[in-house]
Amino acid sequence: MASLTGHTLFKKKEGILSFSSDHGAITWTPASGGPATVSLPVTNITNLQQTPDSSPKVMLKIFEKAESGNDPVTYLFHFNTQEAKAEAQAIKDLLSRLLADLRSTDANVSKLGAATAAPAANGDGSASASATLGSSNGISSQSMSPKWFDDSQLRMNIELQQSLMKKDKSLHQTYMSAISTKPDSMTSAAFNSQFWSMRINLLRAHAIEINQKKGAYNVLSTVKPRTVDGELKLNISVEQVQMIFAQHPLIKRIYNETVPRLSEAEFWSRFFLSKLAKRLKGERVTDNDPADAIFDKYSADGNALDEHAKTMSQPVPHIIDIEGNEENQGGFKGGNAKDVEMRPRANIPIVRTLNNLSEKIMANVPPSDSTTIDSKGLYDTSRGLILRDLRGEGEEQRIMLNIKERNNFFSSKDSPSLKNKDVFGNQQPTEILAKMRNLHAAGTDKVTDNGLQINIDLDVDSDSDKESKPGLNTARDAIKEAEKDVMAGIHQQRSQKYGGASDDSSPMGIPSLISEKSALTHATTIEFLHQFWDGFLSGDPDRAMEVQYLAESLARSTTRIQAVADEAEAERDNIIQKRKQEIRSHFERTGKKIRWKPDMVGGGRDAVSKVMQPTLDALRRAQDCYSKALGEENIQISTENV
Amino acid sequence: MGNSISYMCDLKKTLDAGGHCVLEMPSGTGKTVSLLSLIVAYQQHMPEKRKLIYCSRTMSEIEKALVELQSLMKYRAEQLGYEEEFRGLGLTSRKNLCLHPSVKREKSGSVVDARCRSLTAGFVKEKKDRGENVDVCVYHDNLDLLEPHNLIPNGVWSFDALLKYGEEHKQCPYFTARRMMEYCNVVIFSYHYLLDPKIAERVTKDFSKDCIVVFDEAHNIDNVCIESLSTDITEDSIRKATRSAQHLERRIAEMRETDQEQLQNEYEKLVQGLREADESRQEDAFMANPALPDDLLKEAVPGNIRRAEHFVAFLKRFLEYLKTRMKVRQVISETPLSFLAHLKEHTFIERKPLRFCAERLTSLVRTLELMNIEDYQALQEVATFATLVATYEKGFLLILEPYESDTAEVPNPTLHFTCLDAAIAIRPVFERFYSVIITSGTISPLEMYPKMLDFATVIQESYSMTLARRSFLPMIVTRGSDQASVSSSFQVRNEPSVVRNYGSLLTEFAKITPDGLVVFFPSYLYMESIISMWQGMGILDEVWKYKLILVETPDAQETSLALETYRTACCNGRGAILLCVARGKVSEGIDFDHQYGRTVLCIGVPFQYTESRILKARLEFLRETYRIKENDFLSFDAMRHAAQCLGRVLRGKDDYGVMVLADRRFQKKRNQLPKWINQGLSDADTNLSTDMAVSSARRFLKTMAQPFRSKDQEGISTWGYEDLMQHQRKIEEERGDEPPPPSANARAANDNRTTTYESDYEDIDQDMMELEGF
Repeated sequence: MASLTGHTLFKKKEGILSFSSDHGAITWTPASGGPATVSLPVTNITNLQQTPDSSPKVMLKIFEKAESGNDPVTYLFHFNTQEAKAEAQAIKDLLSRLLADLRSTDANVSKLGAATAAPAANGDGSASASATLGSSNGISSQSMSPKWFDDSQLRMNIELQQSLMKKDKSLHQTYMSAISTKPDSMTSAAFNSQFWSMRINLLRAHAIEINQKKGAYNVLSTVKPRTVDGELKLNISVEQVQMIFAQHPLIKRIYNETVPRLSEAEFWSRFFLSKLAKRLKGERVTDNDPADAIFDKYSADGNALDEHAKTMSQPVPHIIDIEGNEENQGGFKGGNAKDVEMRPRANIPIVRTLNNLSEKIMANVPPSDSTTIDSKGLYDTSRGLILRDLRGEGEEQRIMLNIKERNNFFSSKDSPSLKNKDVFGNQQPTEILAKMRNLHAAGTDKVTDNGLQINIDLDVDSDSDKESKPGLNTARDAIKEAEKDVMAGIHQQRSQKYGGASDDSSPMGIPSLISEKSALTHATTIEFLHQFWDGFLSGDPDRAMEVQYLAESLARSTTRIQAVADEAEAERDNIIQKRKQEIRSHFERTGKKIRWKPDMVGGGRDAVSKVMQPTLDALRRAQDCYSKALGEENIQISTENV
Repeated sequence: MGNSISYMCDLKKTLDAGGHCVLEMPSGTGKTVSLLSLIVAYQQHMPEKRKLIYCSRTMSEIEKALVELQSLMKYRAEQLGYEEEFRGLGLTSRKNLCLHPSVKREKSGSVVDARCRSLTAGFVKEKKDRGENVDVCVYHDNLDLLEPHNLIPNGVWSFDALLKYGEEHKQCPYFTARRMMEYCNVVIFSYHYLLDPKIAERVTKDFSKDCIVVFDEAHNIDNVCIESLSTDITEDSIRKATRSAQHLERRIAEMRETDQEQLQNEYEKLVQGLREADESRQEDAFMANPALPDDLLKEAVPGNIRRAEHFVAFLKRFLEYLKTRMKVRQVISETPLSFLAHLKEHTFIERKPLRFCAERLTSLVRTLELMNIEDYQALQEVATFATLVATYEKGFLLILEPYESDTAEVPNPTLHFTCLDAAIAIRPVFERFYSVIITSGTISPLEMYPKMLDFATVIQESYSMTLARRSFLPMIVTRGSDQASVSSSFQVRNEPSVVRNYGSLLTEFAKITPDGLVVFFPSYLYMESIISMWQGMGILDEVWKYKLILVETPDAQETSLALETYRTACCNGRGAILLCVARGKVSEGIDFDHQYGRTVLCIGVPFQYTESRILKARLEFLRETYRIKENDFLSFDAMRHAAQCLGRVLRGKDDYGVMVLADRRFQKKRNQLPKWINQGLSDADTNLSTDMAVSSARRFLKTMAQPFRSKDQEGISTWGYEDLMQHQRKIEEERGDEPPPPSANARAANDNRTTTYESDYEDIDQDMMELEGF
């Protein structure tokens, strides 16, 4: 990037508008000499305005973000030379690109929104002769990335959503079943945006994923001409040609100049045999190489011209500044010359080629070692210096969520925990523990004594706990109770996870078909719950109708679960019938009875209800809340009964 | 973490005892921060407030140390609840600190120095005051408006911060730092500022005896010592010097016509030996005396070179003599005494005036008020040479090499004046300061350093590394996949089979290494030839499929850019290979931590070029004077550089990397590796073929890619306050219930330890997870 300048008038004084070497600021230096009087950091620029092309005067207006939220400060530069248009255009282009880069690297969505909104507002205010130069246009046309950060764009992008669903089958299923059960009153567009608004993160990840392309690579090294039967064969794809042109502008130039005369194929086959190709690859050229009238005219140096300009303009952070290291001691350097082995030879073509190529391939990537200083006065790069394992605790970033009356969420009235509360509520944990330990010690001491035959009365507090049933008063019973409770929980958890008998497709003995169905029902129910709470808690009166529909759908969800449960019951009956049939036929054939009880068949309504219990609780809770809220508003529930 | 504690305890013992020490602490385990935190705590606690002089090799390392100091002071302020009165500054060359719009653009550091001097010299200001139209530097002159002892507010200033402050307040960062040196609690700069008399005299002569001197990354310190007292004269430099001498002559003639008085003044001063008075504000003098302060003659300049025209004639005579010496077409190696005898015989130049050459030239340049002093650089070199050769007898040698190499046909004579004894340059430092700490990540074998540098230590210690997981995998590859042995020894290194085997090693590691792969070669020459051969064999084409390739070049700026591209490619996920030289620019002071280096390949043992006459002379000297065998030294030297290369890839205990030493000869040199690397090297990994190494590395990298939570490290490689207390109790018990001496010092150290290590207490798991993504 050569440094751009423009001759301008600023406050009726002549001067030069230019960029600082790191493109971090735009400066205006008076022609009369002296230091720059105007220096605007690019980060502070909020908007640009330019006179339209038709206007005879060429002016560029820059808005600088003002401190403490005042109106932005404006700077008007008048380009007054012959090349005014070109200069102004160049500066504007660079500036808008810098701004775009700046914003695209800023992952903070809200800030992006604010930044783009501000120029628009400013534009309205000062819409005089100069046409507003939407700096936001520049952004979207120049860089793709902001698309990923804009929620609404993601929500609207149906193509993207479909491709995501194609990839993620279960998401697709959820979507389909959700859409099939959505209330009719809800438009599919509304449903769509509802559905996706909760999955923006998935969409964004997917968008970024599919937008990733294979990066540039050293293309010349991949093309290998082969000689078959004395004839040169070359496989080269369009994409490779494009990449060659991109990496070696020189070849593009030669191609432009020669190809109409030379056939495409001949051009490439001659090129890959020429000395130029060898030079570009960094190989040594020998006298034996065939001469080529076209390619020998060009020198490979022409390819790398722009690189050196770049070398000069880029500041390097101090911690990797090798040049600075070389110059570290200052003054007259002593020491003997390096020995032959360590003295680098003047020019090894391959070395330069390797570096040039790699640099070219990485040219589009912003350097990772920026020299911009962050708020803590540290370079990005010097932050990398901090030993990560020796760093203290980071500041907490989360927001504490305080839930009032938490109990209401977790205990329904007749849940066993509540019952237990009465039993165990008055016991002192430390005492119990001590007694437990005694019991245990006693038990192990008297192994001969037929196990736990001791009857130490670990009486909890029989006088204080009046309500407690007599059977529960001994510690043994208490332990048993606890054990039963815990084991039941574990059993249920286990059977939900792994199925009754090591068969994980049928949790709790529910046949796999039914279990799949319940899983799906569960997913859709959760989906509706999501939407319901989202709408319900928003407190937005405009969404009242929507919430009502959603509440209805919750009711329907309950019936759906019931339906699944019924189905499961039917299935179970079916199995029992079959089994009975089998037993009967078996008996008829062999005369032997098989001991079997219908209880041994798992699944059925109970199992499904058990599995779905949390979901049903959640539904009930949601509906209660809704009806309570309605009750407070004195509105009758207009739809079917809950 | 136990090793950090013992490191700090040993440091403190050294400080209390007021002696010197050599400490080896594994790279990237927080050596710098342990060192700084202990010394700063010690310093702040003790009433004397001993100044810390912290020396490092390169600007990169100085900047890193400054940044560490900055965060340390921030932490102290947080813990103490107030900010201490504290100032920490770093110093580097003018080239790196210049803000003058045109001077800073100069590419060469010596031109920057010269131009800076011509803008800031005392006489320039006088001229300006007289109303003459001369160019001055605003940044420099603004400093005169400030209080001389308060040019910059308290705090720790990294170079970046200093430059920014300078730009904001329009004041020169270089002179700010330099003039503030004496008012600082911590000064961080390059070794040269203490060791090289050409610089040290101006910068550090006012430092008091009780300063604490630290040489960090000191594994190469002997070479720096030698460099500071050696110099070369080439035919080209004689030619340029002759031209400068003629120029001087003309200027003297001009001055005689216009300003006779000025010259007379100078003469008078020289008669009276009044240089002290004159030098009071000579921070920007043309050049400093290259001889060590103890060897300087404290008497008046001899009569025969007092007059300006006489001195120039004297110089010209000396140049003529050198010219004739250069005509000889065979290698000559002689002692300074024999050189001086020959010189006297042919030109009647005495030793004493020769010793004053540098000083006399400085005075002349000042008197003549020369503006474009960069033209006199070659003359400066010759004067330096003259002074050195006339000052030193023992431990020095003159070698005249008429040809660059044995095969060269065109003569390119060079006269090397080489210092053979590293102890000479560092001796004044040991004598002047009573606590000198020499430390590095790779400074094995420890006993070599006190021997070579001729000093006694209070403590010599090498610490191991406690890790919660095996975070680095050192391996020695002795054979290629075809079982043929690989080596970079002169006889076989260009054999196609060896080159191909090295090539396939590179390709295989390029395939399995995530992000960055660093390769070190023993020399530039070998690197260049092997790269060319690889290109011819199509090996590089294969490597291109997996990684970008970048190479260290002779040009520092180009290499900087290559390094930046490399780092960008590593961060971006593209991945890259950096090919560089074990003794080159990149191996000094650039870290390849985390994604910047997941594998380091050391191709060949980085031996020095053994045919070098200078090296041979030094080996002989070491054998005769310090009883160090040739092979011991060569092998030690090669292994310290190899270890240095390996150590570059680790920084912090969450980091990991593969270290490959690819040469048959490494197998026998294993014991010369630093303790911490050697401990990590399992016996099974000392004799591997390429394919075995690759599969082992692949397994290692897979293991390392698993999530590693910082909690797993607690109590093992990172300690909280509780762990620390427990450790202390354990130590006390081991000592046999003897309570530790409850001195104030011990308490100071304890306080400090807690301050430093409390921060280890908990890390953020997220950070660790982030890493695993790479």
